[in-house]
Amino acid sequence: MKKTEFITGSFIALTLVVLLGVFFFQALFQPLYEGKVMPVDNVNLKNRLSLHYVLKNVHNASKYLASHGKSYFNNRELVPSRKITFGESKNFEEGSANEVTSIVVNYRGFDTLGEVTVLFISIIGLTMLIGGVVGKKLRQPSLIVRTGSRFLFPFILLFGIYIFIHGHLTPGGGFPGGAVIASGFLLLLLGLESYKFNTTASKIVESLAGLTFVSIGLVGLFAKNSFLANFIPTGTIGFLYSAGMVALIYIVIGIKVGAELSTGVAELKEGDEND
Amino acid sequence: MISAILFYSTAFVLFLIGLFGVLTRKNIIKILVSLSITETAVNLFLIAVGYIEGAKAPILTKTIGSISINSLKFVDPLPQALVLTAIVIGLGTTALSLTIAIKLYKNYKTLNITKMGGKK
Amino acid sequence: MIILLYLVILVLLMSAICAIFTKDLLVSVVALGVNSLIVSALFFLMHAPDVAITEAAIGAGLSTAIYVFAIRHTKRQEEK
Repeated sequence: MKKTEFITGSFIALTLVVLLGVFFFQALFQPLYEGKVMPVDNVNLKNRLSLHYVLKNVHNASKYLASHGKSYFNNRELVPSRKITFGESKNFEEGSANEVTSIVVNYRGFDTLGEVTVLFISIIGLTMLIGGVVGKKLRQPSLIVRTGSRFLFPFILLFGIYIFIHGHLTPGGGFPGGAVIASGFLLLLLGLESYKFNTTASKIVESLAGLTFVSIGLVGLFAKNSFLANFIPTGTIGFLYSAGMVALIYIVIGIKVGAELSTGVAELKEGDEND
Repeated sequence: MISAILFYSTAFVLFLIGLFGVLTRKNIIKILVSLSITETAVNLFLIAVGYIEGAKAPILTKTIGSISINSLKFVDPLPQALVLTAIVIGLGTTALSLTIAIKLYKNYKTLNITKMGGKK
Repeated sequence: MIILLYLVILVLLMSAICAIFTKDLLVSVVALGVNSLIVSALFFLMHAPDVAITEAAIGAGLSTAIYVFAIRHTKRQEEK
């Protein structure tokens, strides 16, 4: 490709980007419709659907919508709700203290199952395509790296497990926990040159975790007439044994995501043992 | 207090930088890096949609005590739940696309997309 | 305090520009890791600790590692 062609292409791309930028920023600062400014700086949670997620009365809201119809959209505050107190409120819709966890696992559990499936398929594609690729040899790690990685690995694993077991109480959950576990395996792969990642074992663990996820959903289907319904009693909010099956599903997701990401990283690193 | 407009502007500028990279770069790994920057910018924008000034993280703790319809102390948790899974899916797709890039390099012995295709 | 935040955002944008315009792919990937780390700090400032943990573990850790592995299988310098 000639140089003038490249400069012309860059100029056209720059023009496009600047025009798009002007479009974005005028939406941020100018009135959108009927003199109303886009509410970027004075957001009220009462005007949003998330109100019911935060107050944990989604079932009440859907009943209210069915009986009252359109008047619901004018005022979402009319839906009856309860006060939630940490350490006291019992038997809520689901007793998870972390709102993000309750949305990911409970209200949108089927969506999460689909997302885990997407990750599974992308790692399968990686494993199929990477076969036969041989890379250059890595430099040998020093003594400090070898000893340090062997010493640190159990603690990283423990931290990952803590993150996904306490997903309904503290920040975290299955997806970050799995990522932390995978980064622990990455440290082993880089630090110990004699370490060989067992891909078969990781695939078995991953498949069993996926199977457990679906069977928990099926138990919910038979017990409560809805796939992935919460069939375990949700205890007092804020305790470790609360939130019913949320903790159970997050443990399964953590193991599954950890095994998948570790397999992906190990397969991409592969190649230096052959030459 | 940090205004949400600052985060919106950062996300927009980051998105435009990534878009410019996708449009003009010729190295395939550079294109994937630009795509990752764009993805990060979109995640930043989605979190900024849920940001409320003066609110707290959406986790009920002992210090927060209780919430009710008249005292909502949280930021919007719904965008956070979406972005949480989107980041992990992003890593999966990035790994898959990097594998395809490696295979293309083995086939054509180049990373430049203008020299790929046609006769070897 | 707010000036520090402006500086951090400036570093974020500079790292994104560096990741796109440098000729060395390894420099580009490390700049991408810095970008992800700063974005995870911004997530924490926006009261999203769950997303901040995920972005720090994936964007700055695993993502950088898989890019480096891919560069090891291919070529480090961007050709003309």
